[in-house]
Amino acid sequence: MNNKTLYILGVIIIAGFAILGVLEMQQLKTPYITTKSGLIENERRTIQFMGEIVREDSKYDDKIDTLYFSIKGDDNNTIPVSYKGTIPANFDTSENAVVRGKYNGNMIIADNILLKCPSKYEGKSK
Amino acid sequence: MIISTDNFPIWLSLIFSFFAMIYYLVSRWNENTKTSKIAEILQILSSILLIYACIYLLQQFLSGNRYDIEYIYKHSSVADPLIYKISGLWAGQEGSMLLWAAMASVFGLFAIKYLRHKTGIPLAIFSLFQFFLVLIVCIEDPFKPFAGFHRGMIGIGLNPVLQNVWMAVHPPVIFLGYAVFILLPPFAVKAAIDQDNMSWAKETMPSLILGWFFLGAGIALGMVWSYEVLGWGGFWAWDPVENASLFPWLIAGALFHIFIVLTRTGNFAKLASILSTLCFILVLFAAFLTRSGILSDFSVHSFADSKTGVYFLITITIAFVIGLITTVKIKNTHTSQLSSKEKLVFIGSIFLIILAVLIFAGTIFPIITGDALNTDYFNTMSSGIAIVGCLILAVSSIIAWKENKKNKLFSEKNINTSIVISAFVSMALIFARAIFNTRNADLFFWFSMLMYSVLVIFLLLVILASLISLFRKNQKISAAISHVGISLLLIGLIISSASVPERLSFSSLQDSVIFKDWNIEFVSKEQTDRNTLNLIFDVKKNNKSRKANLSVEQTREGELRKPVIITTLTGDLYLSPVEISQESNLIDEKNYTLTTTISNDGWLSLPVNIPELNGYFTLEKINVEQKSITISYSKENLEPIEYVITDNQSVFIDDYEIRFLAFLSSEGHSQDEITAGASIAVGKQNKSEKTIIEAAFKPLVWVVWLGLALIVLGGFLSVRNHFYNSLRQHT
Repeated sequence: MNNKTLYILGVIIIAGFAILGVLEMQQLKTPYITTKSGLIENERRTIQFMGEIVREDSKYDDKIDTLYFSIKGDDNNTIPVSYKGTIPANFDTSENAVVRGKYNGNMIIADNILLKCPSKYEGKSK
Repeated sequence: MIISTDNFPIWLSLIFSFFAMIYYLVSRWNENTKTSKIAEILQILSSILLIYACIYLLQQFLSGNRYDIEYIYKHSSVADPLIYKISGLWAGQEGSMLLWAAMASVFGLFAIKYLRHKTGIPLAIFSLFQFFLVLIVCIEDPFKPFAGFHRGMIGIGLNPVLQNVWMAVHPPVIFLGYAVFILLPPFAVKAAIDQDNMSWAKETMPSLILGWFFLGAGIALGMVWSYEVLGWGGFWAWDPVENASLFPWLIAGALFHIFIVLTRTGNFAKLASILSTLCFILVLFAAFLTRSGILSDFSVHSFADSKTGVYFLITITIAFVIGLITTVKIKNTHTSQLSSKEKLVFIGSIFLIILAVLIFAGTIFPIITGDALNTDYFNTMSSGIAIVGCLILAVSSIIAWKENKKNKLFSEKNINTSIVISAFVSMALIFARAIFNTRNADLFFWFSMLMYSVLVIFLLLVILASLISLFRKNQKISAAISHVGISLLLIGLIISSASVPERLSFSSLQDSVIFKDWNIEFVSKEQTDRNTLNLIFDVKKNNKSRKANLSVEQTREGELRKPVIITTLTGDLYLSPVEISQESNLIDEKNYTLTTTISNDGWLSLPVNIPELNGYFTLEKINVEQKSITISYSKENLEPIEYVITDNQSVFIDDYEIRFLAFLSSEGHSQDEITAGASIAVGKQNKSEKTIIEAAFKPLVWVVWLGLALIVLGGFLSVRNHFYNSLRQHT
């Protein structure tokens, strides 16, 4: 391999990693969604849905360790959520939540619930 | 921004640093040694005042009676032990900025001798940067009086999350690293004026390696803290603030290697100038990220709204412009052709830069797109890059600096081919993982396993090559130790993170659960003070038992769940509290029906005998809309008492709970009668608790610690060598 070939290969390799980086970002981005239409657009990919917890719909099934509740988005649509695991601490006192998971066309199957206390939600910490 | 006796020194320091810069610049024109002497005195005075302010603030923390200063009030309290009163100094942004600026000025004092130049420009640039750092300290003002102060206040106390020995030392060590990097641009400027790349590399090396060492040690301490205290069981979360300290470390590592090639061959001076600037800019960027709050939705670190973000951007812009001019002015001086090893060191540095760029892109991704990015991006990309990097490192460790034409195995052709092949293999693995990540879980798992296995094999190759190089003396001992350390660290991280945590549930004391080879028994539960709950477990393996005290502490920042780590040679048992949930159900439950009938004579409710309570319930009111009923409870010799029971709120009488079940309605006996009613349940309340902890077995965690220790040791040896060489040259 002469120097020119090596130079070209070097550029190809660097460009390759850059392209793969962009591809990975496309695959692994978890969009922030606040409306039902956004959920439908991103069906079956991991998303983060931010909204208000509808506490009246919350129910915990002991037998399968699953928490059910609903979350109300910016467009006032309520979307059912199921979360396998124990009830997160502060769930009863938080107003808003960010639910990470996948939407199956009917409900969000969450793998993580981030609870936002009202102060943090306003963007002022401490 | 009120000037008081407390903050007066920092304002004076600001003025002195400004005039130091002016005098340095003036000395360029009149070439008067007197002017440059005045400039140096001003710079020294500015630095002394800054160091004084830092020590003064610390003294006020220790005095325990200056809670009229807002910063001390927020980060310290009379009750804090000495070590946390000291670490209060850097617990918040104002104090850590002062500490950083003071440390930078200390390094500036040491560097005066090396940066002294007839034009005065290198020191003028140092003073300019010092001026901006002090300006930000003045604006943030760690001495700001506390508006809400009144006599007798004792301070909130140090954030409990930070009350840990590792956390007490982690920030100042990081800041030491940050502080050293302020010297990199002035050194590059001096090289550009003198057109002397050799002296530049030799003079910069000690500071660069010192900064790299401190920053690396600081990051390592942060990893220990994350593992031991935060209770999530990991070392590194790819959090924006963590990443921000990683960029300058990676870039400094690349710069260090470029300098090695530069001193040997005179090549890549322009690249070294770019990296010098970048290192300093990235340090400023890290401070900017934590202050601007732009990533607060994506990070576990707390952010304060600060007005100083814009001053960081101004400083970054100035540093960028200076760096650009320096890079244009600096000339590459090709003195000799690159040998295979020099080429490999250069290519390895390029891969470090690519890695830094990819991590940087992932970190700012949320700012640009508004979407979060799964941290798997960082794992995949860094593993992919590391595969190629390891091959380059392994080969370059083995071969000698001087070309050996006879060596057929490590001929240039073979080396180039193997790097190209490994790069394509690594890209193929990244591509496969990206494709199957969301489509096929099984294939994704197998490709991930393949990728990490290839990486571990290459890391082992690096260790082997480093050991061989020690015998062949192809590499310095410090380099071999650091490279083995980095390889062990990565191997440890990959293997230990392969474990999947399990949730263990305990329904009562003395309840025991078997996890792997351990028998974990729930021994007791103690409320030590109002905010702390201790869960004590007895952990047994092979008839050896030991106590594990997991604690849950309520703090003003939320719940702090402290883990317990049981270390063995094969790995760590990591136990962390998850939650204690209370459940109540009714035992000996009986259902009763209360009715009321409306007829021509009006409402008529019949009392129902409740034997458990030795009394009677009478239905008084029904409110279907609110799903509630009102009952009266009457007992011998007692006035009836009314209770409202709703759908989700039961009533307690003695030890019994009364729950609402459902409404009933039916036609009455005659046509004029309507009977309405409700069914209720009466039972003894039985409260049960479920204590849930998370357990994980993390194999070979000690490999991580050994790796970190070796990196620090290698860095230390290298710092020692460079300072030794540098002192020898100057005496």
